[in-house]
Amino acid sequence: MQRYLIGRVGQALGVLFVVSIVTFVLIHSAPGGPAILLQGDLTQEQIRERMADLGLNDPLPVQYARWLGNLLQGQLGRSLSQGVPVGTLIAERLPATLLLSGAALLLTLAIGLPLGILSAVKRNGLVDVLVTGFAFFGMSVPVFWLGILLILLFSVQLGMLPSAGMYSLDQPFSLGDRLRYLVMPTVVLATANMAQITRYTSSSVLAVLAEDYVRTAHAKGLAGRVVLTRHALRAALIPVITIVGVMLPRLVTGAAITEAIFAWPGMGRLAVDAAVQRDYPLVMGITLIVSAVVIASNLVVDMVYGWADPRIRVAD
Amino acid sequence: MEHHPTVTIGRIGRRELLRRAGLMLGAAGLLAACGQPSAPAKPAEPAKPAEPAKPAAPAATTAPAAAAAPAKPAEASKPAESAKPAEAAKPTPPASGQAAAQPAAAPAKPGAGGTFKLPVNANITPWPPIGAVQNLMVNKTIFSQLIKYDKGNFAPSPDLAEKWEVSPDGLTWTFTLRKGVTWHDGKPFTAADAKFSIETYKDEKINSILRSNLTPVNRIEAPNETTLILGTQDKFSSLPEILCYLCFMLPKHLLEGKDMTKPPEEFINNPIGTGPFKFVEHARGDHLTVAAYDGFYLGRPKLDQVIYKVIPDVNTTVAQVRTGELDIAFIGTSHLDALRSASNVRIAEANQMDMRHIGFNHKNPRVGKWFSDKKVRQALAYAIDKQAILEAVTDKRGEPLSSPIPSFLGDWQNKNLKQWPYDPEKAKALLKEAGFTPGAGGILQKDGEPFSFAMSSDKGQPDREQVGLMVQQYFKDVGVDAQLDLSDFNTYMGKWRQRREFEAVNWYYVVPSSPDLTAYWSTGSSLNEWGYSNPEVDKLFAEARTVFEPEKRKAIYDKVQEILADDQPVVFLHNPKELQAINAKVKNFPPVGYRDALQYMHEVSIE
Repeated sequence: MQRYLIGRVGQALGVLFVVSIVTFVLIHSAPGGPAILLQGDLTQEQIRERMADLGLNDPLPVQYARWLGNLLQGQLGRSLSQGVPVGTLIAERLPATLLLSGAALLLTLAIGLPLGILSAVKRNGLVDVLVTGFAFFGMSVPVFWLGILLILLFSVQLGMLPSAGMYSLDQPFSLGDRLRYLVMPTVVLATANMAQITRYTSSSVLAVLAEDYVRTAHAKGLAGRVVLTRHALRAALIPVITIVGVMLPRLVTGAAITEAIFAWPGMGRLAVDAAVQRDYPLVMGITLIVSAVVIASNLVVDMVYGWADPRIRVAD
Repeated sequence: MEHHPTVTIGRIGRRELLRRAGLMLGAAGLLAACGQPSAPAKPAEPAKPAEPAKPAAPAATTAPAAAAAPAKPAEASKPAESAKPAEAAKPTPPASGQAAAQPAAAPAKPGAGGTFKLPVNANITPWPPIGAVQNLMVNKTIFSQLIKYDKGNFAPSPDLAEKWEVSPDGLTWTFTLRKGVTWHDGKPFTAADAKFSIETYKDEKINSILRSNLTPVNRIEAPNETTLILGTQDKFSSLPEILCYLCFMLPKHLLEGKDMTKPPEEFINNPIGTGPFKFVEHARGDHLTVAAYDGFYLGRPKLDQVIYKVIPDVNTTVAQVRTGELDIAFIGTSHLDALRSASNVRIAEANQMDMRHIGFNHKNPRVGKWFSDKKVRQALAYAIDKQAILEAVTDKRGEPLSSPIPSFLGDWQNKNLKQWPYDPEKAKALLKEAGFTPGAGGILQKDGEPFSFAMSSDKGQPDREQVGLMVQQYFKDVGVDAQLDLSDFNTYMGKWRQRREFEAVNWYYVVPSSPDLTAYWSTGSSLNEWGYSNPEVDKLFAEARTVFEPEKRKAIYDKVQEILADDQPVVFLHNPKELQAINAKVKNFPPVGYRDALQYMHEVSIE
């Protein structure tokens, strides 16, 4: 197990290295240049001079080596447009993103899983039709539309919820206040994911229910509920775990569109702004962190598979 | 064999298939309904913070102004349904700004003034040398300038400088600074700070948006605490107007010796100015709060706090101004319907120096040969129906232009300029004179090359995209093929400003409220991306700066406008109004564009 883990971490470092090279080349070859240079009042020549000051005229391998050298000393560099260390900017945004994405993931699982199972078990019944309908809706409705619609309904028309932001600016901290701001973005984010989870769970449960061992369990005379909970569900969870694993990195990447609509100061917006402004150090820092999380969550998923299905447990 | 009835397993039957298909159709219908987002559902376009950096930043870059005498106060302050004409619209003679210092307003009671909330669309970096609209919106409440535009007639009026005068030879300016002004940390503001600030803006390493404007200043002295002397190489009558334009005073005692080539971290985490509001907190990406500064030299502001909320999506700001979560929103014409029924919101139309145009690259190796021919540009001016564009994209809230000066600059505008009414026949005739003959596919050609070029602009700006489509059609009608080239903002800026690789642009420019647009139209100026060059224009702009009498200056600028209107270095389209949705409880919000209005935030109050 230990050896397995060490091997996986080694692989992870390799992957990170490759990801960083690819990202570095991509962002530096994107047309345009750092916004900070293009928005001043500089002649073409002065822009070139300033790029030289920032080391942006050096060959890419040289620039990459410099970036990697700093990274090995624990330095992610400073944001070009905001003048603040990249690490600080990410650390400021992470809690907001964790809160929103975490809440959305919980809501997704809390509603999506039971709905999926229900729709499989009550196949072709009214419940199944409703759940399937909801899933289609969730998958097809664009988040910006749903977001604006919710704002119009609950904030503008009914005045029940604040339309955007993370907390009331003129009031002291209170849990209730935080929750009120959390409701709409969470629902919007969860709607699409929920649809996904519901459909996967449903089809996976259906598949398992067709297995021989389930029929055997029925044949043994076990109650339907017992068959479902004790034999079918755990096996049916494997594909669901995969999907959740895919969703895990969203905890840190954030969701740019939802964040923009609800003015939520999360990682998604930070990343998009960084890319738009060609803020090279910031793009690199975010990519690195996010890739690390993607790799880590894959590892976690692999571990959890073992729990759900002993056949794929790692030998000690 | 027991068979649990609810756990049926099997293939989907035909009926089931039909039922599901029906469901999907229903969903598709729903999607289609959502797919055409009407006004409120403008595709969020997250990648493009509504007005990304309203390159205003770049635009926000220029030159001298020269408001002063000729601007008619009454006319200038009429805009919109908003408010009364500015009270203090006394024109200030440019050379010796003797304007009476406004008496300090009666001190308001702390804690009763309320909070004014306004949106910015992107991350804020409160560092004055960088432009970008969200930054300067914050800078305007935290920092002060030596001189600022009057909110009525845009004449330079006193801020930290009580008065200023120029020596008889026109080369030395003496500014007398207010006494007893303090920085938000309590240290006194002196002429040494002013000297330090201007030196900072002139420093090439610092990429300040004022750098080229301040180039003529070659001598900066602070002989005593309240006197600042600026010397210029040649006569420079627009200096006061230049100092009105984002020339914020920086505290020497906090910044001297710091590396300012990037925004200095310590300072932007706690910016200190002399403005009406002092920095309180900044939750990056979320909001920035400033609070009334009790020691402000014009008296404590009426408001207790101003909060800038970072809201990237303009639709969200519209919703928030309706719910009262914001006190103002800066909107587009498409939002007017959504706000018409909102009784707590009034719409104000404010003047702004925003010049929409179709620009040509006179120096492009491929198309420059066509665009540097005046006849071709004139033909393209005739080919476009400006009035129709104005109606389509601004709901008639704006005015067509044939030169860069809009009418709200009062007498600075030359009222007798050549106009370019929509006349495709004349356009065709002029193109023929320029040597173009009919070619394949209805596209004109010259020397075997079809008259075809790329017209660039940035993605995600519905107004601009509509203008592009209309202009493309107008050009096509006269046999000219303009290919729309949309790219993200930064890519566009690289093409346009950094490498000047564009062929034509569909663009806008926000410039100082001044007729001195040297930085845009003189040969080789840093903001003359078009590569336009007309020695006569260069000569006149330079001459205007050496003249101090308003009447003579006006005569020169009239002549410049005449040439520009005839030359059509770009096809001038229109000057749109800035639309502000303001909460009805807000009083005294100046009837000018927010770039200027925010400098008067100390007068604003909430009932």
